[in-house]
Amino acid sequence: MVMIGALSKDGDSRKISQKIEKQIEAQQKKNSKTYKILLLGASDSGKSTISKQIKILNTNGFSQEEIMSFIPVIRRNLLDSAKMLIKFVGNEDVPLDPLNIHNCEIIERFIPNPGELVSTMFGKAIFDLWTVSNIRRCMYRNDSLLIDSAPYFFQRATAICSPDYVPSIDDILHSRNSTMGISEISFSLDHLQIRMFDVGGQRTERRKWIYCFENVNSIIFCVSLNDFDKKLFERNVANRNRLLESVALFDSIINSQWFVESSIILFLNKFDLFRKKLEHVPFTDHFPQFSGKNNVKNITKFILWMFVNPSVNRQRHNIYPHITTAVDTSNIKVVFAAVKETILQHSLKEVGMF
Amino acid sequence: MCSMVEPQTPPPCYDSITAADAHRVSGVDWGVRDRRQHCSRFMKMTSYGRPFSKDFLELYSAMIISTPFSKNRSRFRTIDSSCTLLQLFATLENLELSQLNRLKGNTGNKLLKSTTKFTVPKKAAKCLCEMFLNARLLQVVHNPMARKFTTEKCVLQLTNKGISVVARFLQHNGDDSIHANVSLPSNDSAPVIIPVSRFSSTDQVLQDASFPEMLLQRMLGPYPKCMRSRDESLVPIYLNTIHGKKQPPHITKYLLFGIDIAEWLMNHTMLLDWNEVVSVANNLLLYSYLSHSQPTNEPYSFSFEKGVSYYLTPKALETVGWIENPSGASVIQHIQQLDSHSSNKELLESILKKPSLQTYFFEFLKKNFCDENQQFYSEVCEFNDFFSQASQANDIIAVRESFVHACGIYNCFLSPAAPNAVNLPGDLYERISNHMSLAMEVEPLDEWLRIVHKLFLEAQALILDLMAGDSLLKFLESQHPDEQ
Repeated sequence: MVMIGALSKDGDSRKISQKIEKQIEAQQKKNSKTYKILLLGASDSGKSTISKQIKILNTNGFSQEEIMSFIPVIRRNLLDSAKMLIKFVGNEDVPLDPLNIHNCEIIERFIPNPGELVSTMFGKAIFDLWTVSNIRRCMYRNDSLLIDSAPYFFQRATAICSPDYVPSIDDILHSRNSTMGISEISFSLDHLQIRMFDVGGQRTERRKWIYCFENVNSIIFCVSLNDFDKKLFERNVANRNRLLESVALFDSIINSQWFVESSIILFLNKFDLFRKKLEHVPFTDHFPQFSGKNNVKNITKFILWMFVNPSVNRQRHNIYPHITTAVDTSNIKVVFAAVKETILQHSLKEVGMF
Repeated sequence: MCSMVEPQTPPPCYDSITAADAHRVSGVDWGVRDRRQHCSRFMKMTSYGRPFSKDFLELYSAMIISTPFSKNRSRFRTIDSSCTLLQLFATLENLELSQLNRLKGNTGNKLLKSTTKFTVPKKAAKCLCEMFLNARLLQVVHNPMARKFTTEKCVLQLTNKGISVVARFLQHNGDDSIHANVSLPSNDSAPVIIPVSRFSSTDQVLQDASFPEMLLQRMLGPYPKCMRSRDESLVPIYLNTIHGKKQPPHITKYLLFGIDIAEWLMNHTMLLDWNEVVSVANNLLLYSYLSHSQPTNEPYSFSFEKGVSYYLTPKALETVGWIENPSGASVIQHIQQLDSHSSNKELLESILKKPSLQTYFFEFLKKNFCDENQQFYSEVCEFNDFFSQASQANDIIAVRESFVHACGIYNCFLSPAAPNAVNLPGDLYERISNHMSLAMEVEPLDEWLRIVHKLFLEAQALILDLMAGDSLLKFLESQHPDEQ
């Protein structure tokens, strides 16, 4: 009887040694210099959408199975938003013609069955309702409670509810899910191994951020521009304006001792929704101190100033701001090319070559 | 082995007092002055005379954090953060844990003070410590394999399993609300101690066909370690070559010793006594992962007596992937077997019901820092079982006890200062807080508790939704073979 020295069959042992070598190689890859990026930001600011985009742009994207696994998520989003919308319509007594009242009833009475979640009739009902301008206006008055992608999903309702539905990449990017805890994706960028951490944004999730704060090279901080008229529904801070919450969070992050050496990239996200909303909701209703011209450009500048002014940026970080639309792959491609530049410069600076 | 069912050693007693300190802001007076919820009971014992695992581990953790760990000398060596058996006896004599929590509600802010007192009869103390030793929660420094104390002065240390139990207890109760005398070394790199599901009524281990399979994979590792240096997280394996006269010229077999398997199971899983270890190991024989190396009359009974050894069967080698296997048995296949037509939520529920898959899922959550969700889920399940029974049977004592349980869940996951706050909408938090404080102060307790119970279930469903929407998808992705 001996401790294992060799294996019985040659074929087996060769296979196994290949397996081991592969593992060692993977390990080495992991240990070689990596660049660590955190995606931070308040809840629903688009962190996970950015990380999905980066998955599409820098790794091999989504497999067929992964795409299918988003079906229940997307249908859930549609179902919840539709039910919520009908509740508002009911509360506000929005005047409707009989056909649309009937559509409302279909949605209100609809009971999802667990396997499918939605039905074709349901899809048609919500799609038809969404064409009514009264209903659209009603949504804008209440959109703190709805997810940002609700209009998108209403538009796509017929397709989403069809039995042989296959999500498009856009559907996946628009789908909304609370991230829990911290998850990591890694990819390489011009020989630089990057590890990116996506975190949950709600207050209860933030206490976990500290676990990934060590040796961070860059932070991408996401802000939802669309949040300027929204309120928080989390405990202790109920009814606080979400944009102000975002500023406070940004303040505590960039002035933290952990990130003295890190580069800070600021994403002013959801620009598409923001621009659309400004047509319906005056900015000064929520920020009366804003005195500039009431156009998108000035308001965006004002919001940016809320983040980068010296009373917030007390450590005098170089902040790299970008205006982004996370669901738009071509936009993120451009922005990410710029970010790449920042990252590469920063990594050169760190080794003292720049 | 020591047991506490003998008549001369009465079981340990568990007292819990929860009192609300009235910082009551004037206004509504609910008609009752300071109220205390009191619950006192003997610990339930398994048929082998061990307290039920929940009590057992709580008592253990309470004992460890109340004992001053320091340097002790054992056999001419100084051992850091250790204690002696005598010290443990001293702690057990008068063991009390106090916790402070803030309860915010309609009736103003209150300080919730819960005191848990364990009364351990002197005679039972030694017996209990021996059980901790046998469960490998503690070890004797100079003889880690010891199962009996030779002297009361012997120096003891925490094992990895012990550390993880205490760490979990502290995490559960919030590091600040409890004062701990022991500083735990961090053991992040240590493998997760495999959780064990139990029947709440009998404390028996819940086993299914995939459980032994998972244990086997954990026990042996993914490769036959040709270059295996002594890796403590795996069972040592010996090679036995039998020279036959006919073809094939020789057969190589993997040999394992019973004692190594038993020790591994005790050290790496949440099994708590040797009877459980044997019953779990019996299943390894029953599902023919192991075969006896010597002829025997009882092919399905495992023994860890000296010299007893076992061979790995070809089925076992296939299962751990040491030889190519056509059918394959990865986690993902197990999941696919569950039911491909069910919704994500149902899929998650069935994963959480399967002991083996649950372990993998839990490990994944832990890596992603969101294991509190699963903990919350399973605690509410437990509470639900217990309370439903109690309230159906109209058992007032059991209802009081389930209130203590509810307080525990509240403090750990739902209070404003909860160490493991779960991600729920603010208004649900408010409602739970309000009803908790009503249950605290206003009779009848069971009426209010029924509402709390309903709210807990509501919260549980939301958390299940969250897990099904996020963690589950990421878990499935991480289990895909091409990404490993």
